[in-house]
Amino acid sequence: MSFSKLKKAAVVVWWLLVLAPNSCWSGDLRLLVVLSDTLPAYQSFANTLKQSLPESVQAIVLENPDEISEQPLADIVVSVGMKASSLAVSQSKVPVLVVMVPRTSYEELIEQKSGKDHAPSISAIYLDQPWERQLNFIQAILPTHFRIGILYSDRSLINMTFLRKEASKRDVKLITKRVLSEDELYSALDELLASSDILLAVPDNMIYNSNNIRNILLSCYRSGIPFVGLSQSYVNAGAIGAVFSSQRQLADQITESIRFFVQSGKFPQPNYSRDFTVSLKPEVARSMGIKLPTADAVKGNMYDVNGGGQ
Amino acid sequence: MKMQGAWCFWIDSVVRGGEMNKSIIVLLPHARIAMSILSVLAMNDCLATQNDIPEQSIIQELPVVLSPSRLHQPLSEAPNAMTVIDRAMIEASGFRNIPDLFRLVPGMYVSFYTGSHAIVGYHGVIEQYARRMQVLVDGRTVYMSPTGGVNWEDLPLQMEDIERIEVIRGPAAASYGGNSIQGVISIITRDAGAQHGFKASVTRGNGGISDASLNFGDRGETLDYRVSLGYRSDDGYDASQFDVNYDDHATRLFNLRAGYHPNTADSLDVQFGYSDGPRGVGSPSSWPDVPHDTQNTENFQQVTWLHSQDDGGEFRLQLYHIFLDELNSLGFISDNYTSTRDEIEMQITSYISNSNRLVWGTSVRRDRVLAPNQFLEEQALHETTLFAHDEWRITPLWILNAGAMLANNGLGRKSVSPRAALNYHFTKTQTLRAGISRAYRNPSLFEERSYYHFIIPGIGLVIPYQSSGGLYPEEVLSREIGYLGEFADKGYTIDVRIYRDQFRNIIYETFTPPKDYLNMFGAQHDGLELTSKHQWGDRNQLTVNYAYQVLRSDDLPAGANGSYSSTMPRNMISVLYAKTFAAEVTFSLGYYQQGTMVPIDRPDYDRQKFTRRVDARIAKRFGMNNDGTEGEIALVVQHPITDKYIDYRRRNQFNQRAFLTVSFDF
Repeated sequence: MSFSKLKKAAVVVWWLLVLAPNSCWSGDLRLLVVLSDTLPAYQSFANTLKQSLPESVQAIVLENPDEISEQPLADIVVSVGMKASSLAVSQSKVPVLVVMVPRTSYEELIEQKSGKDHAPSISAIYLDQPWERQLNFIQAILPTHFRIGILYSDRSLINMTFLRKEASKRDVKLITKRVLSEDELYSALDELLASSDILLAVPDNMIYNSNNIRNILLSCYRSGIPFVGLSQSYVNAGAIGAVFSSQRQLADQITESIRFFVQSGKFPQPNYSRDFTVSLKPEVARSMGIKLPTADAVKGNMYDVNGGGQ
Repeated sequence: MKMQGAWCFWIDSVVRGGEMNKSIIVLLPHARIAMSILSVLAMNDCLATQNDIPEQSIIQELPVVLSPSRLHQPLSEAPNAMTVIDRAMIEASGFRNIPDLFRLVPGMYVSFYTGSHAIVGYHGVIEQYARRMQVLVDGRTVYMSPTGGVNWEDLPLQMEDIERIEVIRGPAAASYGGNSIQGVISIITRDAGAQHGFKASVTRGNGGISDASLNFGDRGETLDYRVSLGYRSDDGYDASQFDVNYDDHATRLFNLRAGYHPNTADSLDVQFGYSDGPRGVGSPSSWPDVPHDTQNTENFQQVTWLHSQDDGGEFRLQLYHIFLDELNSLGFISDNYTSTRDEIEMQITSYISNSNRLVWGTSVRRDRVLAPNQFLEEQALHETTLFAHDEWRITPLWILNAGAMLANNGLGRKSVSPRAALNYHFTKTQTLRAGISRAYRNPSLFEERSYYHFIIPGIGLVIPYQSSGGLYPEEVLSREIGYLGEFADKGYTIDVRIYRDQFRNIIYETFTPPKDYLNMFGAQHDGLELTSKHQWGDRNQLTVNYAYQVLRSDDLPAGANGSYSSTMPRNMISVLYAKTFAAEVTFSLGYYQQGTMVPIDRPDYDRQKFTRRVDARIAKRFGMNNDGTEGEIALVVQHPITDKYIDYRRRNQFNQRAFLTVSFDF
């Protein structure tokens, strides 16, 4: 048995000793939830997470990530958002679970930290959705829309090669248009909309922000092109639909990862949230002359397409 | 990160004019522009990277953009037959003025009393002031006192400003307010953020056609705006054997639309508009109304506050003011008027359940008219309404629309205008609709209270009109059955309806001066309307409209001209075909056919014979250079066939028109 395996075994035994008299959860597992900011999105996520955790887990929420090193030692750090995760990964002495960070950003973060001092164990539950799931979603709601338009910039969190491969498997066509600067966003959008059947949002702060969304949605609507968003907020704004993982779904998976850690001494591999939410806006669809299935039917169909919707 | 900091510092020094910058500029004369662009781009990037939160675009809160009042009702769910004229159709039609666009609506009659006085009507009883349709521009009613008509030429609105026009064929008071007894024209202008950059165009053609326009706008963080400046003029109708037609006219106009979005739930839409210009009127043969110009001015201000609720509901508050002025003076005699309108309307949209949406609200309107020759004193009118409309999806296949408007017309009459329609999607692509509604048209101030009088030197007091008042609102009971087939996979849509409209108490003038207005007769209009739209390839679009109508009145008194059944054409056809070729060339062809008719208030010699008109447009777009500047050159030829036709009056002769438009986007 190698040393590392011995070490893992020791951790498991230690945990078992600590927790053995009661249930697996009844010990004093101390969780430090580090938020990137005081933004409502992070705070409401922290509240959802606390509700998801068993009462026996003591969760302390830290709203200022710069104070992470001043905190009393916890057993696990859950870092919420990129800023908190970046600090936690480099400063934490205990395992870190990165959440509310898109996959590409997490991978960049790990790459930057490789070879440097970092937390003993790191994993993540990605905030964004796997591209297969996005494409399955589009096919389930708009089966006759074959030309998927994607507006992207150098800052888009997107793996174009992979996406192209997935698109060709499904006989849909990706129409892409690169935006070099915000100034040319609308001309690029108009050009893209002229040759697409649908516009799929990608995580990109330069393109999809609260300043631009009005004109993007209105341009799509005027052109009769449905827009697929990234969250419930996009659907509320006027997207035809979105597939995303809700805070509750993310929180439940975090709880599960912590349980796994307690049992095995390690986190599961970084992954997307297994469960997801389908949100549709039938009013917008009807107005565009599109008949949508129900959200439940879409979700069921997505599971059917590719077991588990992945 | 340190490397990035150094890069940002270098950029900063370049932007501030450090040594490096100067030396580059000295060495490379063209480097200045390139450097400044690069620097700005890189600066943006540096700033952005420093503040970047990669998860931001997924977790952010966004404003509600497509709120219920922004969403167009799909044809298959609308409680009425509806014709939509969008920007592509407007462009393909080649028309220069808004009224002409309604030739693309089945059953709609478009004509002109003079070159600047348009008559847009639907289904009969159409006289000089087509009074039986509601006309709205962004929810502002422009159907005006004192005449009870629409001053189309005075609207501070250019074709370029229009996003789309929805024409509701049939009464729709519960959704659009009063006076919609035959239908509603709802013009939706382009959003404040729709214009990004500048667009300029110039048009020149025969018949004195000379137009110019400049549109510009910008989109900002919380504020969008667009501005439209325009000038249009032409010589009106051509000279005929009956008249030289002194109806030259010119209009200068301006409008501004600004949208302010301070947060995710609220938005404020502010609009201003102004127009003025001379309108040629009169005739050498109609003394004392000899050829002269009237000076017309219109302006408006409008504010709309929209508040979106979390449950998808919406609160909308709209206030506006319209000012209209016509100076019509020959020195020894004049006929001026000033008309103002103020309205406040509140509308609430709420979702009672996922399948039931209720829209309700109230409005208060005040009209004032100062027209010393038309009324004995300044006139004021206060109208109030209360309206509610419910859309209930009983099952995914059945939709019931039901609503009503309660109105107090300010002239001592109250009315209730109910409407109900049931839509049944009997297949995924086909819908049947049955609808019934009752609606009212209030008498105009002129019909109710006119004392139209002049003192003519050498003759004395002349009174062409004197109202006895006490009029009842006109009433219609409208019934229809519609079929809609939308075969998206075949690119084909067909919309057919048959209807019966029964009118009571139609207000019409007596036949000898001083003329009075009376609830004179009843009528029945039966007909069929059809619209077919076909799209094939990416590049061909064909719209065909056909209307067949039979008009009947059993109690039209002797003295009215001709028979009531011939006051509208029996058959009307309009066709619009548009094709895009490669190389950015578009071609379109319009065909408009109208059967013989005599307008109800015209003598038999003004009979409009069977009329055909063909319009053709060809346009080519071209890129100017790589910076996104584009241009277009378009040639429109209206009625290139040799037979001339007349509009409304025999003196209004329309010969061929041809004009060229050059426009630039930059």
